[in-house]
Amino acid sequence: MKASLFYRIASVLLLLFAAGHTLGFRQSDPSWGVDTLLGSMRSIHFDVQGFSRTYWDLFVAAGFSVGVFYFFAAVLAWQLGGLPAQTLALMRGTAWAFALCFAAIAVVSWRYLFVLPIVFSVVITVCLIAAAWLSARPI
Amino acid sequence: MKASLFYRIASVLLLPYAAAHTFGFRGRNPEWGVDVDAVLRLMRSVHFDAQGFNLTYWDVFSAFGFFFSVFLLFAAVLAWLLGGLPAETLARVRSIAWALAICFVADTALTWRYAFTTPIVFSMLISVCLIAAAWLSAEPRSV
Repeated sequence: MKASLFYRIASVLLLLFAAGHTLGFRQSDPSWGVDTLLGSMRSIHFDVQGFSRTYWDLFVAAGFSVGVFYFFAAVLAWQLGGLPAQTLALMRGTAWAFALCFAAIAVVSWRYLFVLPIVFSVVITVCLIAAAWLSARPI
Repeated sequence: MKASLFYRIASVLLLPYAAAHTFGFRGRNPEWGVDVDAVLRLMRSVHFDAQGFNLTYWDVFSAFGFFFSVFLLFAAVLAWLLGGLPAETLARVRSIAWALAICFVADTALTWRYAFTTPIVFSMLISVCLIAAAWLSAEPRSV
């Protein structure tokens, strides 16, 4: 098994994760009974460093920023998967930092979120660890 | 000017940005008033079921906030490591350099639209450094 295969799998999963997150994080189910809460989050303004914001603004900012990061991670995994073995060996610090980053995301998902993000982040972490492990092997 | 210098500056800027975000994003200014207190109370107390997990909007907000912290720390490490690569290797991975720069340009646009001064300034400065570094990494070098 080659590192590039694991990077390509991780990249495809990250793309799906990014699309699902970006399209889904602002949706709510009527059965949740959160309409009043969402109304308050959107309507109560406060001043922060001269900007009039709501908690919904901050929620949306954080959600889209995470979406951007997942798209970037998809591109990064794809690009790492396309590097020659010698270049990839020089990038093994990046490879391990990338895997560690997603391990942390899996832990945060486990603590605060639900099945879908937990499963995606765990599977992506496994792929990135395998890829990092294989990138460090002598050629 | 060398790409590595801009990567190192970006990396150093990313650390206080990550720290300020991590310690600040769940904080609250007393001047925001009692209405904001009521919103926060609702965010923490209204529970709902998502795929069998009992969550609140505060949980989801916290998750996104911590994800962003993790990402900023990873970006700091990535920028530092890119800054330490030999010029030939850096030229070979310039698509990664541009992807990182574009990512922070998008973050700047988001902070401009939804956030406030501190994240706007940090993300803008980091974007400028990453664009400069990506630009310089693609330059052919005479040995």
